Order: sequence, then C-alpha cells, then structure tokens
Amino acid sequence: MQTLRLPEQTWRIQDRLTLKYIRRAGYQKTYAMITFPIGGLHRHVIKDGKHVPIPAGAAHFLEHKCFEDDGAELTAVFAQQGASVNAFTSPFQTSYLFETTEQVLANIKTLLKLVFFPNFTPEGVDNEKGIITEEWASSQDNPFYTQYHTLLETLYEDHPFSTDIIGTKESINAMDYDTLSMIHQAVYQPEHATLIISGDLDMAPIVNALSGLDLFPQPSSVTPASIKGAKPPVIKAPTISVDGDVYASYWLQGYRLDLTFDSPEARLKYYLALEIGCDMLFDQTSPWVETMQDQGVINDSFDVDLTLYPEVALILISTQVKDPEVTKQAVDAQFKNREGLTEARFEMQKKANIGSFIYGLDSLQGTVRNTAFYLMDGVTPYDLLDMQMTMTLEDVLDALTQFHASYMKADVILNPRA
Amino acid sequence: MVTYRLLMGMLRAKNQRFSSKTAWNSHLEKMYHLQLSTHMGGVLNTYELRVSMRMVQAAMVDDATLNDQALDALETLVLKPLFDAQSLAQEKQFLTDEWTTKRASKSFQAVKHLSEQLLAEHPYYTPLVESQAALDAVTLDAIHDAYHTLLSAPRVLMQLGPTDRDLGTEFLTRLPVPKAPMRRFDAQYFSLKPLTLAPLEDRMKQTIMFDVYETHMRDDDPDRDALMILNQLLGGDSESMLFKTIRETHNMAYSVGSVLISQYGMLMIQGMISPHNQTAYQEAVYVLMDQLLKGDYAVDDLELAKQSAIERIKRNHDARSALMGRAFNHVYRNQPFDQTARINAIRAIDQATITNVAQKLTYVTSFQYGAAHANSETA
Repeated sequence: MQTLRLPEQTWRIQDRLTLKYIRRAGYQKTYAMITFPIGGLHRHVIKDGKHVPIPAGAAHFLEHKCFEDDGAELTAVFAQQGASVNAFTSPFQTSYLFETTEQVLANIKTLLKLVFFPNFTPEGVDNEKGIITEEWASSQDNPFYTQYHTLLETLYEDHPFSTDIIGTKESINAMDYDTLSMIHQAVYQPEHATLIISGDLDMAPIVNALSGLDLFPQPSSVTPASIKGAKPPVIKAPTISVDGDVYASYWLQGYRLDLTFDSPEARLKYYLALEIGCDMLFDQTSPWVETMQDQGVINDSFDVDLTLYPEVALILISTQVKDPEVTKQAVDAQFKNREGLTEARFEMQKKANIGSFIYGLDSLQGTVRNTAFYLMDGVTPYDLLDMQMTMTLEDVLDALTQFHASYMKADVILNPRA
Repeated sequence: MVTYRLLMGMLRAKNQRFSSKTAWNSHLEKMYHLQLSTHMGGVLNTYELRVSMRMVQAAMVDDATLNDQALDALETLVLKPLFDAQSLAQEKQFLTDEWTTKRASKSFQAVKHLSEQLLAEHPYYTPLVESQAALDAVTLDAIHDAYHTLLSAPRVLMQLGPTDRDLGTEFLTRLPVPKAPMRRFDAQYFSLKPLTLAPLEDRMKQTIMFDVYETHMRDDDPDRDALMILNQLLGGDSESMLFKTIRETHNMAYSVGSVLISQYGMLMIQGMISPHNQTAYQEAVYVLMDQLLKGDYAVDDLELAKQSAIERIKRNHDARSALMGRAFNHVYRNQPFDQTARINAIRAIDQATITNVAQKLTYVTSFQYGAAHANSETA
C-alpha cells in the first residue's frame, strides 16, 4: 500500500505557539484552525493556587465574545480579506477557523488577534445573552434533543457532561464580563494552543513574518484546570419515558464506560477496538441488522454512535421502534452473543476503514479537524491507522468483553404525546 | 414520483447477484468502502435520477483488480436489479418510517405547510413527502415500468478525479442505448400568486417566520448574478443586513437569513424568533427590504457582499460537489464552467443594478409557524 501520509511540517512560533502545516498540493483553498483546551466540560480555572469554578456554558459564551471588537464584529475584517470565519465549542475544545483563497498571512494575523486580544465589553456580554438564549431556545423545540439530554442527565447526574455545551438558560443569563476575562486569561495562551493550516502554501514567509511580530499576550498566572466533576456511582433510573411531538416511538439507549488506562495510547487502542467491534455488530454488513429489520425489531433509522473522549466514553444506540422492550432485549443479546464477529468480516472492516481514511484526505476541513482532535492526546490520525493495521480480532473481542463487564446503561423512550 | 423514489431505494438495497443487503454491503466494503448511492431530484419539471460511485484510487491500495471490481459493482446495481414483492414492501416501510420521523421536525412541518399552500399548483412543484395512499398504490409493475423508463432515458456521465482507466466510458458502453440524447434545459418561468396565510400555532418556544418574495427572474436572466449579490447583501451571511440588524444590533435571533430558491423564482427570508420579538422582527424585516429597494445601505456593504460571493466561488473550486454541479450546468444549462467571466461580472455590479433587481421583487406572502404571537396582529 502506498504511504497515505500527507507532507507535514511543525514550527514553534516565538517558542510559544505550535504551528502545524499539512500540505495539499494543487488545492486553491487554505483552511486554518486554532484550538484551545477548554470546552463544555471544563468548570474550573486555577487562580492563586485555588480552583475557581466557572459556570456551565462559559467556554461557548467566550467563543461568541472573542468575535467582538469593542461592539463591532471581527467577522467583517475576515470578509474584507476574502476569508470565511467560524468557531465551535466541543466538550473538550474550542476552535476558531477560517478558509480562504487569498491573504493567508493577513487572515492568520486577524485570527491570532481575535483569540489572543479580544476586545469584548461588559455591554457586549449582556447583549450576547439574548443571542445565546435564542440559540438555546431553538434546540428546545426538537424532541430528539430532549430525549438525548434526558439520557445524559440520567447517566451523568450532576456531572458537567449532563449539561449542554451552551449552558442552561440560567447560566447564560448569569454570565459576566469578569468571569469571561478570567477564563480567557487562563486558557487563551499560545502555550496551550495549536494552530493547524492546510493548503498549498509557501510557508517560509508566513513563518518568518509570524516570528517577528508582537502576537501574543503576556503569560498569565491563571491557568486552566483539568476536568473536575465526579461521575455518579449509580445511574438515576434504568428506563425513562418522555413525551414529545413525534408520530412513532423512538428508543435511545446509552452505555456509559468509566474505564481507566495506563496511557493515552492504551485508551485510543481500546476505543478503536471497541469502535470496530460495534461496527461489526451493528453496521449495514451485519447479518443481525438485516434479520432484525426483516422482523421489524429495528428499522432503517437504526444507528450506533460512539462518543469517545479522554474523560467520557458513551455508546448510543437509537432506532424507531414498535416495542422498545423487544428491541432492548435484542440489542443486549447481540452485545452478549456477538453474532457475525468472524475473521473474514474483521478483515473486511479493516479494508473499509482504510477506504474511509482515504476519502477523508480529500477534505482540508476533515484533515485539520481530525489532526487537532488527536493532537489532544499527542498522536496523529496516521497513528490510529497504524494501530488499526496491527489490530487483531482478538483485540476487538477483548475490548467487547471488557465493555460488557463494565458498562452502566440507561434508556429513554420518546413516545407520541397523548 | 414516489414510484421513482422506491425504485432508487430498491436499486441501492440489493440485486440479483446479492439478494440480501448484508451480502451486497459486505461486497462493497471489501472494495475499500466503495460507495454506491442513488438519488432522485428534479430540475424544473424534469426528474433527475442519479447513480453515483466513489472509489479510492486502485494504486493507493495496490489492488490491481479494484477498477474491474468497481465497474462490475456499478453494472450490477444498474443492470441486475431485484424487484420482488418483499423488497418493495420493505422499501415502502422504510419510506413510511422516514416520513414519520421527518414530521417530528418543526421546521419540516413549517416548510411543508408553506410549500403546499404556495406551490401546489406550480408546474415544478415537488412535495417534500407524498401521501401514504400514493405510496401504498405503487405496484411491482409500476416499478418495472419506471426502471425501463430509467434505462432508456437521456443520460449524462460525469467523472472526477485521477484515474488510470476511463471507467465511466466503459460503463456507458454496457448500458442500453438511450431513446434520445440529453437535451439542454430550457429556462422556464411560472409566476407565483400572492397569498394570505394564517399563522399556524405549534407547541414551540420560538416561531419560524417566513417572508416570501418573487424574483421574476429566470435562470438565464443577465441579472441573475446581481440577484445572487442582492441575496448575499440582504441575508447571505454574517455580514448581511438581516444578520447585523436582527442578530447583532437587536439581539433578537440566533438564526436569521435569506435564500434564493431558483426553481420557483423565490427569495425567502427566514428567522427563528421568540414570541416577544415577533412584532419587532417583522418591522425590522420590512424596513430592511425598504432600504434595499431605495439603495439605502453603505456602498462598502455591497462591496463586501460581492467580495464574499466571489470568494465563495473561488473556495468552491476544490469542492467535489461544486465541480460536478458546474460541469452539469455548463453542458445542460448553458452556464460557463470557467468562473472567471462570472467573477468579473460580479465585480462590475453596482448599486443601480441591485436597486433595479430589488424593484422587480414582489411580495408574495408571510407565514409564521410555532409559538403563539405575543400580539396576535401580524403585518
């Protein structure tokens, strides 16, 4: 097999910011993204040696406010420089990105100004509450959102994962300028960030220019804290029913995993084996899936989703159902009996995953985002591919055995309103 | 139309060589996740049925047989269909379940109601979902007839990406000869009738608010790019008049913007608005439309809208779907493949041109779906 590695280079700008460049020859577009280690799960910073709590939704709120430039919006500057800018907050990270076909250096400088020297105001913070409250309200009208969050509250009662990244209506309204400034000071330091750029660029002049500019804030005495919040030892309820404006019943089951690992590599290898195992048990090549569809136990909406982060690991299984109890028993039995986990299907799965990896290389956005995600653990997507190539069916079976021995589960049934 | 939807689903699901979904999907996975998909859409009043294949380069995985295998899989999907009563019943059930889930979306309900009221008589109208009775009435004979229509229909093949073999042309030689060559689409135009629509209440925290205008512009209109810029200026992105006014100045919405729906010659403004802001939102929209009509906005805003639109065209240069779309529109809708002339034309658009296009817009309707209005009067 040809090497699938794209050419990469890494620099340390002014000995403070890590810059990684992934070259895509022939691409007209450049995609750049800077990522900070704060997300919806972070609820503390360390100030004067003490843990200072921060409210739910703070990382997301700060993401909005970094775009403010004393009442104006920095998005206009990107637009004038031919770029489209955006940002997103995940449970673990906040990322700011732009894509452009021109003025790459000018846009990088604007991006660094946006994240390191935001110019938001107390009045701007108050105004933003209305916008974010509307964002919160729009998700409340979706019955599947209600079902999902009911499940998280059941599995992770009082843990930050049970609250939306946006926060709650109350925490949004309680946000203030000083809190956001303190979080910014703690987390938005170049030492904590990674800037990843992909495109077809001559990087030398860009790196030279960045090395000679005054780009970064003074180091801060406030620092980010790791995620705090004990996971509840038991789940709130094994089964919950909720009503919504739906016209059939929908079943969502979550399996919470609280495993500990010796190293990030061990965790990633376990997660990968678990992911392959779930694919083999439940994807469109699984004989079990076709049998269950034929019998009407599940339908075409049947889906398995894995949320695998360092602190949180959750497998979600969902489908439209006629009888939730029959579906639940069938899924549990498949986890136990592992129908279809043969060597031949394992080799097929490996080939399929190589294909998916190659498709992913077509996308600058996907390449950069994947690289940023795995950098959190100090590895690259290629390391994951290498891990996969050396993995055996036995690794997958072991992972499923460990999963079966350690999960806690709950399900939420969404029924049509009477 | 539902017959063709079922047909495309049945083609994708299984075939005479692989009579179970599991066997067929496994066969494709072994070819490094070969992606075969089917799609049904519409161009004006013509159905467009699309079969797509995406494959990795054989050289990247050192598999000398991959091209032949992929070609064989594509041929199997198109030429060896399996039409039986069980498969048809299963596809019908999948569509029924899919429609049931779609109905749970408030925005789907809103758009469905609006389009049914506004467009039911329109010759290009394609319903978002069809009736259960229409679905139930489809027979196996109808599927066979639709399949033979598909095989003899005018066709076009598009191929993108580096390849060591012209698989597309090889595939075409294996298909029956079509009855007629693909023809260019005539740009047709039908008028929309102004309409008064009562708000529809639903159990929601917000209301989805629509304002619809007719553009009176066909796809081949020399001012179609000016219309695109007008939309960009009005509600195309975060620098638009709607976004800056409704969201950034008045903090009344998270989501607000406008879109052009060229199929129906429509410009549609849409916002997700809480009840206490509905009246102020509606007034703000009318003020912005009035400003657009009078040219009462900064020239710099127009220049920014033009630049954003140009940059979007340039950024899409690398995008697979955009490349395919440009190739199709070039051959069958007489639009240029190379975008240089279009970019230059956009650069030349001035305020007078935008005002001219704005003055052609006519108000069609407004519609609100969701939470009850804090004040029951609607503009």
